[in-house]
Parts: sequence; C-alpha cells; structure tokens
Amino acid sequence: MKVGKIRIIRYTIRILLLVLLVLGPLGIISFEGVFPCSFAIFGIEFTGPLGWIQRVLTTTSPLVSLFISSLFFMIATLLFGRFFCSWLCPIGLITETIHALKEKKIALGETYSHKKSGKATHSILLGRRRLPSYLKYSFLAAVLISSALIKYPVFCLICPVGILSRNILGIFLLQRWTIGLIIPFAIFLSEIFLTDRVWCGSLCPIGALFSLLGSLPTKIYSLRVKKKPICEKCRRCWPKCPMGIIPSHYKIPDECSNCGLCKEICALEKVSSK
Amino acid sequence: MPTYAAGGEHLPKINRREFLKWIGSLAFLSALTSLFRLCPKKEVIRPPGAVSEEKFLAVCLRCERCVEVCPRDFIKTAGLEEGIANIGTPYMEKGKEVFEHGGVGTSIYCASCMRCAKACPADALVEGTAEVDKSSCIKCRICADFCPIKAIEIDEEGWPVVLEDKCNGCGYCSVVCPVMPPAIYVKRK
Repeated sequence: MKVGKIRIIRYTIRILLLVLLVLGPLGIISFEGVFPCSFAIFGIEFTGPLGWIQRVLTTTSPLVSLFISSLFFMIATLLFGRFFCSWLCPIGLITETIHALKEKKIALGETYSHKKSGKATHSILLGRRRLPSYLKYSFLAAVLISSALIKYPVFCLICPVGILSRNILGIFLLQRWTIGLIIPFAIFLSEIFLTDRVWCGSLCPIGALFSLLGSLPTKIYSLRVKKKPICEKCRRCWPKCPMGIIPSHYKIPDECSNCGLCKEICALEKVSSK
Repeated sequence: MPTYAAGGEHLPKINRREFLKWIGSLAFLSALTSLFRLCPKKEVIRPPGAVSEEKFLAVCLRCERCVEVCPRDFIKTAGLEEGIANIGTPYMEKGKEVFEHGGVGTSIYCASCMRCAKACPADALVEGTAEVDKSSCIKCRICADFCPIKAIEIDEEGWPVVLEDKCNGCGYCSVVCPVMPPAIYVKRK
C-alpha cells in the first residue's frame, strides 16, 4: 500500500506536536500550556476558537487578547477549511491510526482467510453504522447555549483534546492519571469496537465549528472531484474518508478535513486539490 | 444505494423531519448539559490574583500555565476530588507537607511572586497594585517594613506610598495591616 506525501506530512506535524507537548512541561523546549485551549510556542500565543467563544458567552465581554490569539486557527480555517482535524488534532491522530490498523487487519483477513471476514467486519469498515453527522452541530449549539445559560464553559470540562494534551506527560511517565482521561479512552474504544470516527465525524463541537468556518467562500485550498474520467464506483474511497463523506459523489462538502486519503487511494486520480 | 449517513450532505437539502430531529437533539443535549448545574460545588483556594470565584470558573481556560510556572509547585490542577465544576482549574493545597529531605513545612505559604498572574492568558488571575486608604491609615509603617519586595516607602508626612512600578499586588501589606478593615489593600487592574 502506497503512502501519499500529504499523509507523511500530516503524521510528521502531529507527532511533532505530541513531542512538543511532552518536552514543553519538562522544560526542554519553550512550549507552555495545553493544546489547543491556550498555548505559547517561543512566546507566540495561541488560543482555541471554541474556548474563546465560550468565554465570550460566559463573561459577556469581548476578551480581545484571547480573540487575537485565536485568530491563527480562525484565519487558517477560513483559508484551508477544516484542516485542524486531520493536520493537528491528537485525537484525530489516534482515530486515524486505529482506522488504518483496522483496515489493514481486515484486508489481511480477506487475503488469508476469506471465510472469517464476513459481513460484519465489512459494515464496520464501510461505516454503515455511523451516527448522523448533524449531531455535532446540535452538540455545538447545545454547548454554546448552556454555557451562556449557566455561565460555565461546559465543553472545556469534557473536551478530549484538552484532556489528552493536559495529561500526555502523565500518560508517558505513568504517574498522573486523572478521571477525565475516560473520555479520550472512550473514543479510543469506540474506534476499535463500534464504528468509525463516532467522535470526529458526528459529535465533536470543535469540528462542527471548524466546518462552519470552513464553509465560507474564502477557502484557497480544498479537495475537489474531477468530472473525468468517469468514476467506476469501485468504492475504495468510501471507507477511507474520516468524516464519512463519499468522495465518489462528485461534490465534496465543507466537512472535508483535507486529509487527502481519497486522493491517495483513487486509482483514476479523480480527486485533485484546488 | 445503501443508506449511508454521509457527512455534510445532509446540510444543503435538509428536510422537515431532519430539522425536527436536529432541534430535538439540540434540546436534549442542552437539557443534559444544564443538569450539570445541579452538581455540588466545592470551595478551593485559588492562586493569588484570582478574580471572584464565579468569574474565575467562567473565564479560566484550564490551560495549566499557572501550574507550570509556579516556582514552588504550590498550584495544582483540580481533579474529581475537588468537585466536578473545578476539574482542570488551578488550586492550592492546604496543610503540612513532608519534603524530600524529611523536613516538614506548610505548603500554603505562597510567597506571592505573582508569576501565575503574569502567565495567565485570560483574565482569571490578574495582577494589581496596593492602594492606601488615607482616611483609616494610622501611619504605623508596618506595611512598609513587611513588604517583601520593598515597594512601599514612607513620605515626609509619614504616609505609606506605594511604588506602582515595583508593587506586584501580592497583598501581604493588607495581611499585616493592624487596622480592620485594612487601610492598605490590593486593587485589581
């Protein structure tokens, strides 16, 4: 199986980020804070946009300094769509790796013992039991409404990305385990035993926010499907997409995270980048 | 075609049934998250420079930068034991502590270096400056003697004067002030 250039770049960026998250608290590299809530690399401040929006709703003040530091993510999303999920997010790294391993296992099962890989594995692979993707917009709206109502940033309590990066050093050194780790662990288990990308595709409010921002017509980079050559419906791209989009339907919606996996697998090279 | 729940493709051609489902899940999830309000609240000691507890919970980013920057590791991240609402926020532990060399000290003695307030990217921990209330000050000079960074001077008439470029707002002067309520106090920026 060939590994595309984009995938190598994406894995490098995300693993570098994990290395920063581990080396930062140890004092080796100038990296402070928690990704993506609020962190500083060599003195440059970054803030997660959902964190800022929740704080604006809970305090009913604009919080200009947080807005300025969250501009990086917002402008990058306006230009590159929902790139965060496949290029930066550590949860995305975990789910994508598990998905690739699962696919490999099922592919091996097909070649060596054809009888064992029945319909069940196939339906998991093809993501037939996905939750509806609009749920994440409900979740985003619910998070924003309830944080404004109870004056408490609700999502920060359960945010798996924040919890994971807050505890990543503890995970490596096996000393500081907190109860919040249940949530990334549940995502990990659901990725193995339930269906693909339950969290990323249909629940994550961060992804929902980035999809909404990325749907604005300011994008300079996105994947699109060529009209020719005509798609042969080989369906190889269907299980590949982390967000449950079917690239062979000629129109890639704004939930695309620009991971380029469909481009990598397509034998006819139908998918191109704008 | 098999029934696929393809991402995003729901959105442009959303029909009434889907919309009702969306609203239903929205109402359900909002109700679920608002249930959180019923959770018992637990009071913890916040780092120096913390704003009022209600505002602190609303604005704290849970980024742990105050925890990382604390030179004596007094500031800890709250877990489940400190109450559900406090998870991820910084707090300071109370009580005696046995150090590595066997000595015992009080871990609450924070020297108020205010590095945590400088590190805070949000307005959860803010720096301030001490101010003198001349109507109740008795010119006893105790605040100037006790100020750990010598940011209070005494002028010719005997009034304490706060050097604003030096003062970090640790509040030690208001602790030692013999007047009640203290005649010198920290005003947050």
